[in-house]
Amino acid sequence: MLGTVGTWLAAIGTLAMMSFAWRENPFYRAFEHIYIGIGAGHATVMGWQNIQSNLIRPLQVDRHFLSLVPLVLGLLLYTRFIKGQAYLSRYPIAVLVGVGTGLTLRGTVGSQLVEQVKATMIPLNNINNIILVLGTTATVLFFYFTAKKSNKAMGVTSKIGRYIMMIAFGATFGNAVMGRMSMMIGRVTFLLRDWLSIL
Amino acid sequence: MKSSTPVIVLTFIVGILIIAEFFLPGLNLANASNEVQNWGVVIAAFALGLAAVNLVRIHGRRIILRRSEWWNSALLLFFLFYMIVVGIIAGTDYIAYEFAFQNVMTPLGATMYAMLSFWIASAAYRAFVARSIEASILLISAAIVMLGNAPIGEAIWARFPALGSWIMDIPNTAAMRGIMIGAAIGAIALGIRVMVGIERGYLGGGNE
Repeated sequence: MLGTVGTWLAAIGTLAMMSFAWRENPFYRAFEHIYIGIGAGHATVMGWQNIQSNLIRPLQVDRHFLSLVPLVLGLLLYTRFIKGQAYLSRYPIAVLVGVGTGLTLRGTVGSQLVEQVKATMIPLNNINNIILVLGTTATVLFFYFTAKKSNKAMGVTSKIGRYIMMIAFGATFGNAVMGRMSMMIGRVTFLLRDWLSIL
Repeated sequence: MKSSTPVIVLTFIVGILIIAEFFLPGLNLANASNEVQNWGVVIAAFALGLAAVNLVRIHGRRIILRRSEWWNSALLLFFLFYMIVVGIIAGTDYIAYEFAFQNVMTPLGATMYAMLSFWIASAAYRAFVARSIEASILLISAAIVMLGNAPIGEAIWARFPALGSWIMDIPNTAAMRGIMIGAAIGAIALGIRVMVGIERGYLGGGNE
């Protein structure tokens, strides 16, 4: 019984979302708000679970009193609603930005810069390796704008980089189209098979 | 203490602690770095609560003032509180929570993403006009990858899937690697600018 109600609810929601292809309408807007409500509620519950495992449990079980610091900082976020004290909410944001910047910098240097450059240092003994090395170099040089106007070689290299990027963007676009189409096929299959039992 | 200097100093200390722990393992900063990263997780969780409070304020006001389509705001708040109350009191494994997640959130999210296929098709119609060499390359590459992924492509020419895979593995990897290296240099520059206080966009928003 509950399964049938769930299928009907999912089907009505799916149709409501699909109705946006025709035009924005009240049916779509109602389900859009329901989706945001459930999504925001779910995110809040996930946040609560994080607080439980990283703040409440260490405080209660391990007596880890340093956990009081993020508790205070977290509560300071809510000073945004107190007139004249809103500036206090900048401190937790500063910690968040600091953590984010630190993790980004060390992650970027490692995985995005050093590892990618290392992966490009390959022997030029076949056509694929040559395309990989020249393509990567040309793409990097495309983003080097300073000497492009005065240097003809740089101009030609960056043009090759642009062509290589167009191949990549085309491929990415093609993949995105196929991905969305398969999702759409999945939703239509759900409607025809699980809901209407036609298939 | 309304000056932005202490905030910038705090950002710098937290950022440099995490970077130093990674690049200078001899300093034994792992415990301090992990503790600060844990603070970040907890503060981010509090920020999710802040988002929920903001939603309640905005949509609560819409309901009180009977603004147009206020009933949609009521629906939003009802389902927001439903998920929060059930999720926190009974847990995410409880049947009422799973019911809403599996039968509303998952299908609605999937349909919303699937709907993008219509707009992607419309964008393709506009982008895939072979006006220039670049647009032609884009068109040919996308067409080959799509035909390589669809059964009809293999029916037309048996080597379409292999050609599509080759485009994804070689030229696509080369370009993405170049973009990644460029973006990494940009991210490092931005990170340093944030840490030393040149970039202060994140300080905005708090009315004093």
